[in-house]
Amino acid sequence: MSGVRGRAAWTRGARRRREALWALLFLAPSLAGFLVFTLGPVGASLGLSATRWDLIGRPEFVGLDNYRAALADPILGRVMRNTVTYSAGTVPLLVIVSLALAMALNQPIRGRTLFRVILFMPVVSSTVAVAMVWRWIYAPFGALNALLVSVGLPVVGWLTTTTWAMPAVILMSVWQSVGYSMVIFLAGLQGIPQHLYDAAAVDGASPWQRFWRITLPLLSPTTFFIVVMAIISTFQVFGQVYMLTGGGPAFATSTIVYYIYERAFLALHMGYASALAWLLFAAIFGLTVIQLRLQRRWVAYE
Amino acid sequence: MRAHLRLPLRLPLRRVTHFLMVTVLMLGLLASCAQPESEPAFDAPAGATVVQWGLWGGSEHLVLYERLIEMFEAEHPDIKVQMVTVAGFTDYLTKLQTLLAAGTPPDVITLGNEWFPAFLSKGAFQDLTPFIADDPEVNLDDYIPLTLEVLTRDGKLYALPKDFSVDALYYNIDAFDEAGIPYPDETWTWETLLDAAQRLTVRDDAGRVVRYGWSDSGLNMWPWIWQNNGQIFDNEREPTVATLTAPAVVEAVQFYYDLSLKHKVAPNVAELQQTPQQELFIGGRVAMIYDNVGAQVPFAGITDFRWDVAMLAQGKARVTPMAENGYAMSAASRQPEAAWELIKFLSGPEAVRVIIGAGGALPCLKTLAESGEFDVRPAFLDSVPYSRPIFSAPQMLDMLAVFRNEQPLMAMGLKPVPEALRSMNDEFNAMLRGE
Repeated sequence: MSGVRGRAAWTRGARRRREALWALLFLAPSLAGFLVFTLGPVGASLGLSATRWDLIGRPEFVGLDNYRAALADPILGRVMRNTVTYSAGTVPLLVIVSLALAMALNQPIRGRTLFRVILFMPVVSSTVAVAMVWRWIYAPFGALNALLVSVGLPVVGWLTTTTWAMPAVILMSVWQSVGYSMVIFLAGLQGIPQHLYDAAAVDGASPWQRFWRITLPLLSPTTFFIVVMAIISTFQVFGQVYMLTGGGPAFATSTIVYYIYERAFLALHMGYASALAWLLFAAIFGLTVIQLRLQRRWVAYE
Repeated sequence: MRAHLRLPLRLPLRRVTHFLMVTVLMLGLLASCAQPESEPAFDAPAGATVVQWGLWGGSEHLVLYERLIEMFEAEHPDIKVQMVTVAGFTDYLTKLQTLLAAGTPPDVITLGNEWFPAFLSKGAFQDLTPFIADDPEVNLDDYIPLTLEVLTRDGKLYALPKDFSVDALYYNIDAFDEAGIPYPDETWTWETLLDAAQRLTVRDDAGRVVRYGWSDSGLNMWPWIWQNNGQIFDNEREPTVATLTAPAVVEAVQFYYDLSLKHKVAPNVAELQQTPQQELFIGGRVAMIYDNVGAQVPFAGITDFRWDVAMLAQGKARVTPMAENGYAMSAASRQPEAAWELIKFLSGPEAVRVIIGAGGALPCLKTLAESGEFDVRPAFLDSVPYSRPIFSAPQMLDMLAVFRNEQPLMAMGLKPVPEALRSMNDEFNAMLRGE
């Protein structure tokens, strides 16, 4: 009896090991890619962040000097402020606009598939191409100024004044990513059971009340997801800035990743740039952890 | 449905890991670039020596360079040339540094004169003097002296010249006629230039500038400093101390940035970032620009108006900036003889004819310069005796980073000129002291 059971256990163990081996085999291609192209460079950058290295010659070990230098770097403060401004401008606008669009396109209106496609198109367009078009829109004699002149408003130096460059970048970014958030909101909206709305209607709730009491609370997990993702991606903004303003005018739109790029690939301070990348990682990680903690207060799961 | 809503919750953390990948992707790229001993993946016949030639340029230039390689290989059947190329100069510089770090730089390296000290301080190049001494085919006396001088350090010649360029004043003849102003000539001073620029600037009802009077790249204060008898360093070829706080420098830089900030006759640096000066000129949106010989090429296609070239306006002195490119041999080259053959050919008259024939630069060989076979406006040739190379130092990269940080602040009027010059001066001196 015990012998039989022992053999069964042995067989089960062997099969599990065999299955694990198979699993590993199937995972190997992506695991190898992860090790070589992700974990390796991540480790390397952590190592490099403790060195001084200009690409020529050998990296020179400097301990925590790069991190200390970063804390005293006045430019880092400036680009960090710009990044926070960009994020604070983009995220709320993105959430509000994409929610409004999602609700509009959740209605049974004619041609809504077409509108969804149109709104999603910027998401799948290349940032470089999009930015080229927006540079034309923002040009002194471009489309946006033509519109302002036609309604009798003064023209604005959209990308050429320190006041307006950041709002211009934010506007383009929101336009570009609103489709993505809209699609997620749409999925969220369609997950809200219709019977809740029916019951509310029977109780005489106004559309406004239905929005505040049913839609918004039941969408909160989706909203949470969008906010977290948007904050992470706005802290990593690079392409829009690089293409639209080159960080200018006079650093009004230089963001942290743009600065990392400048340090690493124009000034060739690889070690310092790596340290900055890790500081950015820590900042985003911290922000995300805080958000995960705070979600209990406002995110409702059924 | 519940599952769907919960799914996003787990995503952020995964996204965080993903972000980690992204922030270090750049470094990953570098790591993959740095494979030592990577054999050139190209088809070379057995027995041939392969020489790598590093250079930058867009597709229109590469066509010319490919022709040069064909010509060279026809003369040297035992040598095959492989181009190592990137479109933009900044990216090329990065690539060069990466290849040097990996120990696999191209055998022949094309480079701007101001970058030589930065590479020489790392021992990247071979002294060409012995090659020249052993080779009767090279006659150094035929080069314009200044073009060799800028490639020489401590009495050693580290490159043979490719071509060089000087700046001059391009102007829209029709705009001058329309405003009734005499054309620029050698009598022009800063004041004449400012006065003409004011009269040539045109605004529309909305206050937008339809046409600016004058422009340059927006961040090129050197000629003004020199023309005002100022200097960036005590010795601009081997700096020991920065001299940017001298009154002559402050005055010159102030005048330069006032053109856009105070007089508003020039586009500011942010406008130029959106539309570079050559585009503005071609579009008739600026009447005069400071630019080098190369601008002749795109301007040759202008049909909407007539244009010509004059010397730069003079200040207390007449000076024009010059820039030169040369061919150096990397110290790590394993086939120096073949590399030398390529350098000699590229710097020689046959190759120069191909490059300059369409490229818009000046030849460094006197016989070619005097032959009159190149379509170069006289103002450029007149400017050559007044030309001066930009400063160069081993700390070039860091110094340019300082300019990138401070110049836009001055250009946009966010930091007073004297204050910005003082902080630049301090940073340069710290670098020169080795801090």
